[in-house]
Amino acid sequence: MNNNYNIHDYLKYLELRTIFQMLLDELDDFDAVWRRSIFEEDGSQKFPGTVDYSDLLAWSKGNSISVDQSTISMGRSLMTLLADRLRNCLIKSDEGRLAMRHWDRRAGATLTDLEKEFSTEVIMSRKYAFKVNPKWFRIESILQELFIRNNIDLYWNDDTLIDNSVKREFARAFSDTTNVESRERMFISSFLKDNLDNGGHIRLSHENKNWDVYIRDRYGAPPGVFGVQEGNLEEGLTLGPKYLQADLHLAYGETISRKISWKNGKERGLNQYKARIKICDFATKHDGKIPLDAYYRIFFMHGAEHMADYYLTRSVGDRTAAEFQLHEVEGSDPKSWLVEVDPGLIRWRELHRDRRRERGDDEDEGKGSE
Amino acid sequence: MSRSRIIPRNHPSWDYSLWESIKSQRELMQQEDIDYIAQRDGTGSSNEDYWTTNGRKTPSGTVVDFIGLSSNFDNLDQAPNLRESIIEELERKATRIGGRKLLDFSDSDAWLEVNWPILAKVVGAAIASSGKEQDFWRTSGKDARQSHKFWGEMMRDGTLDKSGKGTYLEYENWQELVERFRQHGLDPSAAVLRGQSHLPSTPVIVEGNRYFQNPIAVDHRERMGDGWDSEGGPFHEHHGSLTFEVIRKATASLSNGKISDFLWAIHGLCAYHVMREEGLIQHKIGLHLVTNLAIRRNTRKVGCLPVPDIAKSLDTGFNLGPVLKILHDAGLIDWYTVDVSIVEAAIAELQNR
Repeated sequence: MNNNYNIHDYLKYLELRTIFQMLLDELDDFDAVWRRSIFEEDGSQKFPGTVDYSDLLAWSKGNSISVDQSTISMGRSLMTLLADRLRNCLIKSDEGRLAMRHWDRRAGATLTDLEKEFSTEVIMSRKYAFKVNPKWFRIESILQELFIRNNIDLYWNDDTLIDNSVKREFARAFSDTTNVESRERMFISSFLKDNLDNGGHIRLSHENKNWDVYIRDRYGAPPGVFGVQEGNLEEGLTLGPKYLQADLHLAYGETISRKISWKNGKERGLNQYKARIKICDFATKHDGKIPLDAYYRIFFMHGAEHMADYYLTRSVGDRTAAEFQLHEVEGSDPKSWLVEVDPGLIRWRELHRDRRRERGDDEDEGKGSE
Repeated sequence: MSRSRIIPRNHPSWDYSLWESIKSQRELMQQEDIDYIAQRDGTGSSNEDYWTTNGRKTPSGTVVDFIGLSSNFDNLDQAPNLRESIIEELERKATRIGGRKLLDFSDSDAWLEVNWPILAKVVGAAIASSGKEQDFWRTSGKDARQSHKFWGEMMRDGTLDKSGKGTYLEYENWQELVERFRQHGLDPSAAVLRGQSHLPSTPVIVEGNRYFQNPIAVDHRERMGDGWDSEGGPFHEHHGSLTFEVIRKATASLSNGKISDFLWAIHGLCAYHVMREEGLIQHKIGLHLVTNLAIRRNTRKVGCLPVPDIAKSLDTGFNLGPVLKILHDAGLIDWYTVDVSIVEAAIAELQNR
């Protein structure tokens, strides 16, 4: 009995390790694709309107999971807050109401903003002897993950970035793990608390990661800016053609959340994720199509049968989701259908293969997936 | 039948051919039988007495239950053929309510398309409420109640746009509104942003740092008239039946060939439903059940599906009998029975084709 229990535990551990590695790989893929999409080969930044987002869109089609769960909302909410704040400042700058040199904490989020965002305070009330609210361990983990991937910058005050030496210290502290389980590892929250009165805050990185380029491409920009697609970022401007139609930052925030949640066994969307991989592997070998029966079976085999139909049409309400087309097989009796898989989703799977080739990893996850 | 599914697991797409081969021998489910089952089905979707591949025993024999999206929706197939006239009519409606300046009709596909996943969530919320009203269960869900509250507060805090685009909130005010809802564990912001993908059913249209109410959602609120209460009283208690009333009227219009009236009402219903991320119950009984029926019908013309197979795939602790009764009474599904021997013979015949 005891042995069975241990084997079960060990298998669970192996599964969790697999989940962790998969999510780590996905986040690494995003960073790699972002780097080659948003930056020129020599490292200089691209202008809005010149970025090819196709691989980033492919990434989001693979990683945008079908049903939002409480365990993935934290990263999504945080990315929404930071993207909205940056966008708001860009709008004001475009309108001539706020010069960029005068941007302050309102371009990002202070500890107070985060406490409001998550409807809870870091330190719990007197009754609990000033213990840290356990929710903050996860928030801190997400912040650290965003920081080591250069997605957020830390500011001492309203307009001063932390020194590179301090940044390196933080990065060193996070290099072993971003998994926070004690008050002693709440580095970013402590930094924000210590510098709250000066205006210490975090921003979606427009200094190091060019998130401003994405914001402009996603939400538009005023006419007449070199290399910038005209859109509706400026207040009062008529809606123009937007350059990018998908909310990449939401899919990214959800994936960060999933990585943070893996250890407590609360990771959601794994079955859908595996089903997508199988569908792509099949479609890749069959001209981008998969028989409808095989499509349903894959969802069934991964315990997500009830999601299969919804996933077929999810793109109606979510542009980060994959699109599928159904084709009736001519002359089939009983009638049968082929599902044409979104090339973006297949490209997402190809990105996995690119990564494995770059790493010299021979293993082919897709083998035998039919 | 000693199998685990009516339709063999390896051939789920036989759903179309199975129904086509047996539909001429279907019997319409009688209201008294529906009421009887709803009162007695109390053990979740896997109830062995009703939703089994061996069939459900009735005084006249053993039958398998089949359900499908109501034939009330059949006229929707005509929408692509009448594209221009439907869009013109929708534009006229938008002009009539003063929403034309904000609504963009260039993507006509979006206007002709029902956002089924969101409609299914609306229906899920209404089922939860309606079931409580009828004493089938105690929980009523909080989606619709919160949506109603959200619109009340957005309306109250909003500024009227001088160019005639309607009421909006500046970014800072929007943030304050969102924060107030987060205090109660509900986050409308990300859901609203994601809704931008389907303009007709998005709750909020973002232009620069202005967050406009979708005029269709505002129109929906106004058309509900006396059914709504600023305190949330009557609405909170009856939003299930009110929602189904809107759907009934919309499908009646559709049956009479007024496709634009149907689309306008359904887009309004969806746009009004802000709380799209919450509610496991709503997901199970609304999202998955309704989308499964709607998507199979709309993409492959599948008429009806065997209820035992649906019950198996949903695998929910929620009682299916009352759910099906509510959906049936709302005119959303058609419910038939077919003698188990006919179903068995049809499956055998499909296997031999």
